[in-house]
Amino acid sequence: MFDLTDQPIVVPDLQSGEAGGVVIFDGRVRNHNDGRRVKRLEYEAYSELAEKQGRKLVQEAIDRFSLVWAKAIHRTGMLETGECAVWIGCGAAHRKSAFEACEFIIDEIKVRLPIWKREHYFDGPSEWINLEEKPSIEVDSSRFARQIAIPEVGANGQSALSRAKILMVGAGGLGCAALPYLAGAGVGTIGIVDPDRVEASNLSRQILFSPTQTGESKARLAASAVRRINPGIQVLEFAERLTEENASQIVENFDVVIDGTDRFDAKFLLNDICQTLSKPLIQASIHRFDGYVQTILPGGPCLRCLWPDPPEDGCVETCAEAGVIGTTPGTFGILQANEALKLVLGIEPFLSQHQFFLDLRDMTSTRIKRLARVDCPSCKLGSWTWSRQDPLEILPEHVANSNEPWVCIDIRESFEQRNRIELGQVNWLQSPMSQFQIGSLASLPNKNLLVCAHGIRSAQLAFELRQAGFENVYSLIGGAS
Amino acid sequence: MTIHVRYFAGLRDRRGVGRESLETKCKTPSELYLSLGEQFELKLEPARVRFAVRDAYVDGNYELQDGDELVLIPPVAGG
Repeated sequence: MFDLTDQPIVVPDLQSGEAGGVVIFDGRVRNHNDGRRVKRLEYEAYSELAEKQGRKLVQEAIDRFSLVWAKAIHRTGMLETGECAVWIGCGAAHRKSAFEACEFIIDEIKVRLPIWKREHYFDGPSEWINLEEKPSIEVDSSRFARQIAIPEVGANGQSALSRAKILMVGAGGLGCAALPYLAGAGVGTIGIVDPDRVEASNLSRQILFSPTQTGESKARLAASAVRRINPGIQVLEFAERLTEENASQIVENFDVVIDGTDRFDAKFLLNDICQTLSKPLIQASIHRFDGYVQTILPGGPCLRCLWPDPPEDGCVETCAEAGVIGTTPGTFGILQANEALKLVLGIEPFLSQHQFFLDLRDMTSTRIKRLARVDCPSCKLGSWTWSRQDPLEILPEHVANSNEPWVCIDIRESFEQRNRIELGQVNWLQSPMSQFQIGSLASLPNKNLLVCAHGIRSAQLAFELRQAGFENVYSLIGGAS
Repeated sequence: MTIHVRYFAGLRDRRGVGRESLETKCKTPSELYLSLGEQFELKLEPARVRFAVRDAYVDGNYELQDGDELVLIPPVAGG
């Protein structure tokens, strides 16, 4: 399904009667880049991780685009111009999804896989290129520079956002407003649940959809809109209704849940599931020009503290009956996204003790203190504190002044200058990034500090290793130079 | 006594105004809502309405004081 090879790529056998459309992408080494003539290209991979993530990516493409088969092969080692560097084949029942899947795979390979390339030129020394395309913290610092500049965010906050998993239930008026801001802010994993298909009457407020898309799945369309905003994040689609049967299974994989549904049964179900699984829930409801938003933390106060049971059908009008103007869910969806980002970043106070009411007709707002009902059937009155995730990047002082057992791993290549930085009583070892050995990582309670020249590659590798489940890996800010 | 009433969501639509000040002999939010419900055909049964006074939810039996602002909140589900 996915192969890395240091030998010339051999095109696999493509026989399959089931696929009516087969799309092949053949990526070659180009003889020029940015105005310079390229002699040859060298690819280096962090093989174990590249293969694992490559297989995951191809499987994701098969599932997402309902492919009959898919295969990708990536070269490593030295390649001459004109040689095949990456080969991707996708077979589907119909051509459209094969085209889309093929493009998806090559785009994602460039972003997700720990493979680096170095160009050798006719007119000077070789250079590592495209490092900035990887989802490293360094990329984020330019893309997210304006929010990293806020003291409450910073590089560690950005790293927390990149590891956060937020589930948006409902891709309607609220969801269409919240989702772009979550993606734009760099939330690493976003899930979207919606069983519905786009209808013409949705378009006045559900701004991620266009008239040509009526009849298509909202979850899928919203997911692809979100991927366009930030191709570096993982987006999971659930084109199904949230029910008592599937809710736990979906919700348990996320850190924060946003309720963008428009039905009482769904709102109460989410309230109960989030209490059971100890997930914070950001809830909003709107009516024509007004609405409210509140954050429900595990331990409450929760929705059932105020309304023990959902109202019967017919007691309250829905959007379809009452009508709604797009700016109302738009405003409230953005307020929900704001609360979700605050939760991930640990920016208090959260809206967990009050309900915030906003009337967009007369522009008045009210914050009402919520009741915590002691006999509430859903939330048990307990405490909940948000602990911000372990930072990924740390300063030299942090290591020098800590009593923890640090192991510093110098990941610079043998051809690089390896000057040492003073970090106090720590163990040093060398494991160049191009041949990085997972075995060189010290196990807990040791903490591994990756060090390179400027802190770019080390942040990247630390990020990848954290994604792969190694929690005790850090990167030295600024590197050893 | 004078009570300043604020209507929210569907209740506002049925009443036709967002807020009003009125003279009343009603002593509690429940009593006042019953009377307003009848007068303006607010339709929503009293058990479904929540009350807030001075930015906090209160019980239907809360003792209203002259000059209180009473917010009437129905269940809302739109999204």
